[in-house]
Amino acid sequence: MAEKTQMPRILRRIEILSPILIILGIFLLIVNGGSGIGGFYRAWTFGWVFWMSITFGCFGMMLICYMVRARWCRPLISQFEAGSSTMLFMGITAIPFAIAAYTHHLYPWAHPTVVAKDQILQYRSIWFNPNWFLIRTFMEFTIFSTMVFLLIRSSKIIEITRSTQEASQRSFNAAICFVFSILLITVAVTDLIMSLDRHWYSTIYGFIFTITAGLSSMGLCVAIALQMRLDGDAPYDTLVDKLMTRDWGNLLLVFTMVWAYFNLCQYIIQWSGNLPEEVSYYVARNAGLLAFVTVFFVIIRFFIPFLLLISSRLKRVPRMLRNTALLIFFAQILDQAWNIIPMFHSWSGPGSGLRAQLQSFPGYFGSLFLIGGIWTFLFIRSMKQNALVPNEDPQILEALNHAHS
Amino acid sequence: MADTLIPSNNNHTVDPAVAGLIEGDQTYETVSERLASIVLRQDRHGLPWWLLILIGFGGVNVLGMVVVKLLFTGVGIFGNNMPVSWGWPIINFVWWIGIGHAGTLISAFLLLMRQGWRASINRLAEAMTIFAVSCAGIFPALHTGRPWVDYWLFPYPNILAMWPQWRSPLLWDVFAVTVYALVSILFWFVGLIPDLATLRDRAENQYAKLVYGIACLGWRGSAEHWQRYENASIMLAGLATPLVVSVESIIALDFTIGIVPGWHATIFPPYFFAGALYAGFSMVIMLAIPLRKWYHLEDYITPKHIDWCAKLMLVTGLVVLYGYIMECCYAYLSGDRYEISMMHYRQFGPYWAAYWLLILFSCVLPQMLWIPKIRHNNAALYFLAIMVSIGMWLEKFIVVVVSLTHDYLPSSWGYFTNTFWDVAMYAGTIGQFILLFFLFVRFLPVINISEVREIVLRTSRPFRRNHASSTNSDSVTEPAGITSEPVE
Repeated sequence: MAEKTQMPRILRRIEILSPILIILGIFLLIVNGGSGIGGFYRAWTFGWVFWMSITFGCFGMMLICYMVRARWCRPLISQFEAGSSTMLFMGITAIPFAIAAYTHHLYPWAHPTVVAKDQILQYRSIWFNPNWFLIRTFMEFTIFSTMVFLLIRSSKIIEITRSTQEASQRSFNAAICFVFSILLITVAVTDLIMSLDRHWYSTIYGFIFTITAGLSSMGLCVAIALQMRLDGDAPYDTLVDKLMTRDWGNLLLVFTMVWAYFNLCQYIIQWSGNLPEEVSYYVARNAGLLAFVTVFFVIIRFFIPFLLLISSRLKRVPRMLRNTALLIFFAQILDQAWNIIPMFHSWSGPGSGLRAQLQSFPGYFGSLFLIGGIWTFLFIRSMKQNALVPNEDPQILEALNHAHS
Repeated sequence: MADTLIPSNNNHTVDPAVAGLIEGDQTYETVSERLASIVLRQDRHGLPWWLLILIGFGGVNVLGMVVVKLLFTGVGIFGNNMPVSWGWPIINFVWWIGIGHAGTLISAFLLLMRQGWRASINRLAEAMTIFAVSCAGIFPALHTGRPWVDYWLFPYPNILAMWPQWRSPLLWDVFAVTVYALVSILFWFVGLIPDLATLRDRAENQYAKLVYGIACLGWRGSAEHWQRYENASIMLAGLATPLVVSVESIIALDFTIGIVPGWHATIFPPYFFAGALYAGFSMVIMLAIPLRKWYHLEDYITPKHIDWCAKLMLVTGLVVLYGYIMECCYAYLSGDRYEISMMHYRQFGPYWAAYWLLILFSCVLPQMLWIPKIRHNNAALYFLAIMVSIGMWLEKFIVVVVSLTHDYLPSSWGYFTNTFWDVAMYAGTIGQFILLFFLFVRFLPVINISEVREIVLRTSRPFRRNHASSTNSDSVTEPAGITSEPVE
């Protein structure tokens, strides 16, 4: 069985931070009360989608680690597992979306007067209607939570029994889960995010969300692992060497490039297509002050991480790589803000004007902090319950063997 | 604990990163002899080689006949006509280019990722790339209608003031494919240099010695040569990998930039890229399985190579499947009557058989690759690879033809029928590919000798044996680079 070590400093700090975030989040949501129930739903959507992306990302990375048996996974896998274990919580916190669908808030397809005037929404009502939406969302999170539960249980069994057979089975199961997860994430993203916009759709959106989630969760977990290494916490002080930081840096670089590739594809095709239902997505994000935000967003999200990560020196210096990973993680907030907030303008629902948006800003941070506080609390709790790194997993040991040879 | 994970029948440690990548009791000498002899000894080329050369030669003649007919008559010999002005030529172009891309990916991307298993298949994959690109290039070049003025596509200073349309993705194609072909040839040739030197050293025929001697550019295998070789390989791999992505994405943009129902989908670039790799991996399997059998290369192209190629085929196939699902679901969900109509037309219109065969060949049957027994059964795998190849051709057919016959206005709808010349030209390029590939097998090493020797080094057994016995002639006759090769 894996030996239990003292909890690293960074995790203790995050543990202390959790209740502060929760209190601050509640306070900001109360302050946001002036923007009405619509403002609450919008704020909740923003915070929830951000943390959902981290959860999905952790889950996807956990599956990849189970499948590829790579050396770089070892210091990160327990964090990915801890992040994935918040899946049930994320499912519970999705309840406001179901309520919003019935109370005609948030989604244009849920608002009868909007639907009555819109032929496309009328046609889509076969798929987008409150009952079917509720059933799908419930099923998605039930399936995700079950997959997380079974896979993490399998990992615990492997840590105890060192069973190669169980490890092989877990690899196979992870591959199956990965395939279904991508499909389920696409359905979830279409339902919960894309349908916030009245007409816009993009077939690559599921991929974009998936890579965004993977990138930001990788950024978070790499930053934590490197901080533990910098603090000299065992076993990270010996585990994380230059070869590993190089691998992490390369992975972050590849994810950043893939993120840019997917987004560029979407942008080129929709902008050049110039179809009203498509180009509106970019028109909304290039209007007024948002145009500056867009430029800033592209710089923060792509150019800076790309230029930093292309340097091999940076990938050898833990402190620099940690800062870059943190930048990638925090850029996700801007990414989701850029992606989601303009969608609220796409239909003239109650309180969706720009003024209402500005009034809702405390709420955006409030939900981000509140959900984040609970998320980090659950994350740390899970980290405390398990070994920081797997010590008996035969597949991980095999990967180490590869690397040493 | 770790030792139990490494299959080993002796007391020596086998590098797990290369375990299973080479079989039998191998030394540098056996590797060099068995791989170089395919080139240096005519008797190693039996009936299958002659038969395929004959088929290939016949195909090239057919191609020549089509080209002559085309030059004298014009593109009207093809089934292309309004509304399908892009017919088989573009379908075949995209199909061949896709096959080429997997070769680059296997070679360049796996080199960047330090994947040792590329050694046995990278050479044939690279050759496949070049020959596939040469087949692909024929179609757009002839499809212009006046191929003798194809040079107008390039922005050369001219007195006609004919400047290319920079906003056209077709022009992007010219640059993308040209650069891609050049980098692929360069990458292939650089990788060949140490092996050409081996052939030079082992050839008994004076002419062969001279030709290989010139081709290997004075390679001596010094540490300096190896260092430059490694640097050049890495740099070219770094160039080739983004090129693969960009070329295939540009080909996807050829379609998506046009606002034709069924084309204008943002998923196209990654899904075209995955589709290209899918077709390419199937072609690698289709080439590797018979080659290893006919030339007794089972020790070098092992079941592990075949298994990994099959796994990659499965992965890329799943991405393609995702693309189909997205295309279909979003078309129906969009509420856009033209997209809905197009998807319905694909599935239930006059081309329904092509669509459902595509789904069967590219999506349903390859799911059998989840089963290890299927992946380890060469006959089954070969069958699946053929099915995937056909499926990927059908995919291009569906994308090109079906969308063009059923766009916005019913007045512009039509029905496409191919002609004998369409089929003949396609068959001709298949013949050209076969001819070029088996000429390559005859005159150049089909497996990367120097990299396989590196695997021999890493499997440790021969490494120790060579050190234990200074009488081994291989250490003397082989290029000096063997002793100075870096070991990871």
